[in-house]
Amino acid sequence: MSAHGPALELAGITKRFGDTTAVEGVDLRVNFGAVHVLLGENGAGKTTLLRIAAGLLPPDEGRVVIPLTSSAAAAQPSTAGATRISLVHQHFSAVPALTVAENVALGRGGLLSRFNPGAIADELAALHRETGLVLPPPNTRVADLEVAEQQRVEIAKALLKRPGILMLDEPTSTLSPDAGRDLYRWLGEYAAGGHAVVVVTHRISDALAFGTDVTVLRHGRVALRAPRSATNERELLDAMFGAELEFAPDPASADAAAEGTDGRPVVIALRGAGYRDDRGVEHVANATLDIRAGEIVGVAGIDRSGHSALLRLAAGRIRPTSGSVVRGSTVAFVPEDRLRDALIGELSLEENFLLRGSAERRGWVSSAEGRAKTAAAMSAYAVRATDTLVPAAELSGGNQQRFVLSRELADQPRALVAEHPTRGLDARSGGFVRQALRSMRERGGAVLLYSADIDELLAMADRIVVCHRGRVIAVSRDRAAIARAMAGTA
Amino acid sequence: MRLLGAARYFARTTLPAVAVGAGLIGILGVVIALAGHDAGDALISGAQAAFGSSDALISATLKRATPLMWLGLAVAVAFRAGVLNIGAEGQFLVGAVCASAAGLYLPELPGVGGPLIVLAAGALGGMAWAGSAGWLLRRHGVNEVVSTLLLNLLASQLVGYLVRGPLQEPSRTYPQSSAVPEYFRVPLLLDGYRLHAGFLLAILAAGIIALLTYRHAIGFRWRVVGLGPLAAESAGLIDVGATRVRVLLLSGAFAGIAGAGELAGVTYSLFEGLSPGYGYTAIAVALIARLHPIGLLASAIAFGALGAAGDGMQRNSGVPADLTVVVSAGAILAVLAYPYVRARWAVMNPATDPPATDRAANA
Repeated sequence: MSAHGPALELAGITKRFGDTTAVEGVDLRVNFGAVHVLLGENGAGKTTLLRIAAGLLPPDEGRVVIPLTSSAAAAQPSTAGATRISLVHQHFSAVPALTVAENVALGRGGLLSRFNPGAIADELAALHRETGLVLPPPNTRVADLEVAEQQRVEIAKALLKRPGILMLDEPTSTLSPDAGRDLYRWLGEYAAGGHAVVVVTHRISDALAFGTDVTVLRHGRVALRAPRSATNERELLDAMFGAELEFAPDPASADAAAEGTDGRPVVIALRGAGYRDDRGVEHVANATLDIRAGEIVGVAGIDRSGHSALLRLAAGRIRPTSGSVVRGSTVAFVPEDRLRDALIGELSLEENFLLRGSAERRGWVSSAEGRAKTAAAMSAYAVRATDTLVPAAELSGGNQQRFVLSRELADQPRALVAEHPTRGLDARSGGFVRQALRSMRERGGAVLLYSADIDELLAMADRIVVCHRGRVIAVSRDRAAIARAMAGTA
Repeated sequence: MRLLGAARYFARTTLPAVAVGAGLIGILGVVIALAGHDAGDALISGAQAAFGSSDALISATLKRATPLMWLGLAVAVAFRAGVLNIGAEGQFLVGAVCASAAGLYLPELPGVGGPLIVLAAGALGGMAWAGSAGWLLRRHGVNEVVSTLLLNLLASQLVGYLVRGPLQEPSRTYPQSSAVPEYFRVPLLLDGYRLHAGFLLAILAAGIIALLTYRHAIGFRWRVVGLGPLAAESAGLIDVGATRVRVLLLSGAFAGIAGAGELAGVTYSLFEGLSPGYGYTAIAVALIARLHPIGLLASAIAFGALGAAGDGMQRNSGVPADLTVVVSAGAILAVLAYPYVRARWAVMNPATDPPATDRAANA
């Protein structure tokens, strides 16, 4: 009984959606004891392949073989001969109205089993000790959690099933670098204990640092398949992007703008602005901040520091409950959760394009005009889709984000608020987004940018403020200063 | 090309209703047989009562379809925007009450159409009834499913009180109001048939709503609010709460017009059994048409025929008309199961494309 036998084999997998071939002739072999990294840029077919492997999507061609007897199965009586596959989705499936513990209890046990929050809390605490995964208190409502915490709950739910094969779709896209490292470290130990782990990511550094085996997908085909020890960064980059790598990692080149923007007009002005939600929870207190034409103001902050309310105040998506926010123009807004706050998955791209400012829209909706405008904006931002009638949900994450940008920036607004706009994007799409923000600044636009990635802020922003417990603190463009302010030890 | 487009449009909007209807007639036969009656005989007398003559078709089927069209529109408009108005029944009754009061107490105004006054009164009544649920939703966050449903009970009690009190006919013998005077009655469309002008107005209204829904910014906002309220708020800057209340008011107005039309075009007087559950049937009417304003005209006629057939079977074959309720229930179940069955079908037959989902219709 080897701890390194095959856990999962895919042979000649092909999957089409309409005219689009998502995955073509892919072979994949995942072994017990290994962290198998599935690498590829947005739209390369990673998620489709993962869903096929997990049995959520039937392939058009090819086979999925999951050997019945396995070391993991033998080691775990609960799995009783079948290898259990657990998939952590990139988008969340927790019920917002329920608490963390209730979400964990969902789908467990029989009709008559009792809900025991205490036992679940203990389980989660044990999981925390075991994995280093930082979880919110079990009695918090999921709706009250920020994105990163919600994702950790998703991961916890999958881990609690003690799967033989654990699959994760972009698990670190919302975790802090430290939490990501902890997760990977745990994944490595977990795999070494005789389980199989499949991680879908676009981060080459993750693959190199934590992978055992790497498979690179490019345009739905396998571009490279190698053990980690037999490959390197250059080779992976070439496999992912071919020779067309357009957006290299950004040089920290914001110094050009350091000449000072004080004389430029203020486009968005927060004057002692505060925000309390309906339940009286204070998200932002007494925030004063000017965002001027021709600058990018960076916002850093850990989860629940109030940055998301700050951005929405600046964008005019919520009204301050104290103080004032003055905007010199309408503000384009790119929210973090694209599919919830920016797009309606069921509607066509054309209709999603019309969505912007639709409260003000009057009269008949001309489809020819809307189509032309949508198509023009889409081609300007390299949105890949067969036509403008495709439902937004069918685009890959990077394409969705480019589409949102194309829409928000279509009529050349003077101000843009962007909330972690590179979240979950590969290097190329991320570079594209950053380029769009920079050209906005060069046009004289005012940009407020939140990112969970300090390096991105340092590379992009002319000034940086940190949110900590609802307070907005101006800091120097210095990594250590930012980190201290985020942690509240400044 | 254009013809093909029209055929597809018909297939998408009308065909599902026809198919469901055909299946349900089979179920009805089985139910009748199980209840110990001669299914063939009953179905034939039912069919005759619904379609057997121009009188059956117009004075029974289409007459019954008229309130279902208005009420179906009321339900479809609300559901489209994610507002689950279950209260069309109550709004219908209040519309009828207001129409009756207007017809009985308002003076005749030469130069102004009496029917328009009565229908407007009905629309206002339905709007007010729905508006109270809207106020509860907006001000106190009361779920509209609960409030509109409870307001139905209140409305039927209101009718019961009025026809024994303030609106009772002068002889105080029967629990009903006097008939509204000629001037206020909605005119009949054809001599000798009991189909009033509200039927044509419903078709007109459905056309307008279809245009608004699919071609106009107003209807676009309804759909957006129904499909993705958070995106509507964040990306569209739409006031989702206000939009929902407005839609609820419009829905109530349609339901109120249905009630006013029934009163001023069919019964002329108010009594407790004015609606044989039209407001609930309308939910099935709208859902079977997948909330499509034109499609629901067809499903309203189908349900109108079912009602007429039920009456006919009871008259001629002694089969209780209530058995047709089984069919209505079956129709609702079929509609509710549809998205699930379709999703299963997509999984079992991977060759076909994944189905587009229609969240508003499932809600």
